[in-house]
Amino acid sequence: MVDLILFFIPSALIIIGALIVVFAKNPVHNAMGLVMTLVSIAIIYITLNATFVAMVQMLVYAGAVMTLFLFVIMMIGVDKKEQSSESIKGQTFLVSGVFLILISILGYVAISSEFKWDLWFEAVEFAVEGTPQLIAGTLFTAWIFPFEIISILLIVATAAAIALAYDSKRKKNDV
Amino acid sequence: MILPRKSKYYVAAFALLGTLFSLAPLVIQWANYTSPIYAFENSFVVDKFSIILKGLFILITYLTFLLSINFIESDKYYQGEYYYLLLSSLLGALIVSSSRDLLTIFIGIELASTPMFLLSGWKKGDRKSNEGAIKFFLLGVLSASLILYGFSLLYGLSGKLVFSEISSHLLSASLANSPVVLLSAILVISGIGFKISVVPFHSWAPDTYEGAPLPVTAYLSVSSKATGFVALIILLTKVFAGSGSSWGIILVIISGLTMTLGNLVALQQNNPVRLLAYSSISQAGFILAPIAISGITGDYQDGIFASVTYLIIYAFMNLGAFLSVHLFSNYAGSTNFYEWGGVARKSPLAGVLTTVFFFSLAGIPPLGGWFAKFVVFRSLLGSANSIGIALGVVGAINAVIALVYYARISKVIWMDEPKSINEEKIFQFENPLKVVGVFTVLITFVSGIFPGIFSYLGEVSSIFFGN
Repeated sequence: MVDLILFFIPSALIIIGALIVVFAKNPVHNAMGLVMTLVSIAIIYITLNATFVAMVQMLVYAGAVMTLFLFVIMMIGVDKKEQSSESIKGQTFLVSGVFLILISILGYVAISSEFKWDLWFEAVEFAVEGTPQLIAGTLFTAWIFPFEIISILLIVATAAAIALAYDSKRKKNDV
Repeated sequence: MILPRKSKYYVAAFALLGTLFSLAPLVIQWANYTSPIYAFENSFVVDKFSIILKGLFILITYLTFLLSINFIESDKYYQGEYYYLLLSSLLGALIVSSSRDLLTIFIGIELASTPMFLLSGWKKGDRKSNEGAIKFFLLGVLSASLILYGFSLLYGLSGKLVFSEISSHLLSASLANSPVVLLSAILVISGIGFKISVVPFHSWAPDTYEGAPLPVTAYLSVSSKATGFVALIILLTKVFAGSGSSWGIILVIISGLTMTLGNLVALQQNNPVRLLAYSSISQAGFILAPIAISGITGDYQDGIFASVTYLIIYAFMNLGAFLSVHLFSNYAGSTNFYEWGGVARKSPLAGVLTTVFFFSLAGIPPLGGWFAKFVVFRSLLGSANSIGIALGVVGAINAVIALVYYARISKVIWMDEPKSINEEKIFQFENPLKVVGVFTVLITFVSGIFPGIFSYLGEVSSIFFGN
């Protein structure tokens, strides 16, 4: 029962987020909808015991990629009007055709195969590979040295980027 | 950033002292040395080879700090970050010389080169500095991705990260000469080729050298290059040892091209920094030659011995050469050395130092550069291999060409008519710079007159290859 709830709520959030991405007029709202979708997918990964994939999903997609999206939006500006006319002739028609074909293929697969809800959650064994314990175990024993060095590398990049970007004319007062 | 501007001097002093004290553990390790010590599941090693190279890297960084003090204090630069970044780069170099697995060596290479991307753009308002930094950064990232691609092929083949396990897997599965391993070796050679600036991966070097602050340029041409060579030596002999005949040929071609092209372009330069950039490209060809031949003949000990000897002597004489360029271009206020006519008369000490360094780079006995070249030629001709002898002939022709432009600078500063000499203007030769000059000159002379001190390296390289 808990499994089902944990499946349906994130699934609903994924669909709602996807709809927001398509229909919202403000680009920031689009981006936020995408974040909602990606985070919900991460929750589904967790219910499937794929914790590492979930972490990577959160860090890379919800964290890094979305930050880049928001930076682009910030630089272009939010108030720009979206171009609503078709840049390729008949693109709406084409896309809806492809969409219908894909949906019907999916529906056919779903109906024709033996499709049971309860199978999904019971069949998944506790996967040993990819668990946080295992990754942390090797990371902090065998590979602790490169791990620590990477932290220095990141500090170098941050400190030097700040030093390069810092405006030397404005710093008279606050150094 | 925290310290007030006046007391930033302490940062420099602290960095200098710290670098000097970090030599102490090395001395203790050397004195108590019995056999190689492995740590972190065979991915990190302390052997004599790594101790010597660490000593070299620390000394280079120490001399670079001495070069930097007055330069950085001219108030246009951030001092704290400058020393921090150079020290981080040193740490990267130290890690590379001890690393024995793909992950550690890659992170070491990156830690050694990332600070240099930023330091080469340290002259913020300067267009050339920005241009050089951007070129260096883009090509540096490209080279990192090439190295990673090569590593990923190795990992995909063997499923191991530690060098000894990879090479034993390649041997047992008789994969050592398979196309995939060769592709991986080529990718690694091209990636590291950018770091050591050999032809055809050299194009960033002159622009970056010209734009970067001079101490950074000196460090780039010496320590970064040495780090790249150490990484290359470790990878080629520890991982790709089985496929030596394939990468040997590639390296021979690269080495011959590098010597020739670097020299021919250097002949036409009038900017001393660009001249030194091209000269260091051609010197890289000489350092590469013994490794290349050792790949073909399989006599890795001799190749490593010759290359590392050349590397050590080259490091000190090239630092000295940058010191003299710094002194004279500061005084003459010109970046065209043909306008330096007679400046050596203003400061005979600086003039003598310059002559020594440039003649040593050219390989004139009894200076250190002579012994370095001698070792390389002995290794090439002693290989009794037609390719090695051919490469030796190319090297000999290049050594003669190089003498032309090295001697030209000495001729200009001593013999040409003084044009830019102003009796009022004081020749600035600060004390830290004098220390650098005297130290590097001492090493240049000692290594040339008593080359016996390098014989221990032969034993060291045998230990390196034995384990």
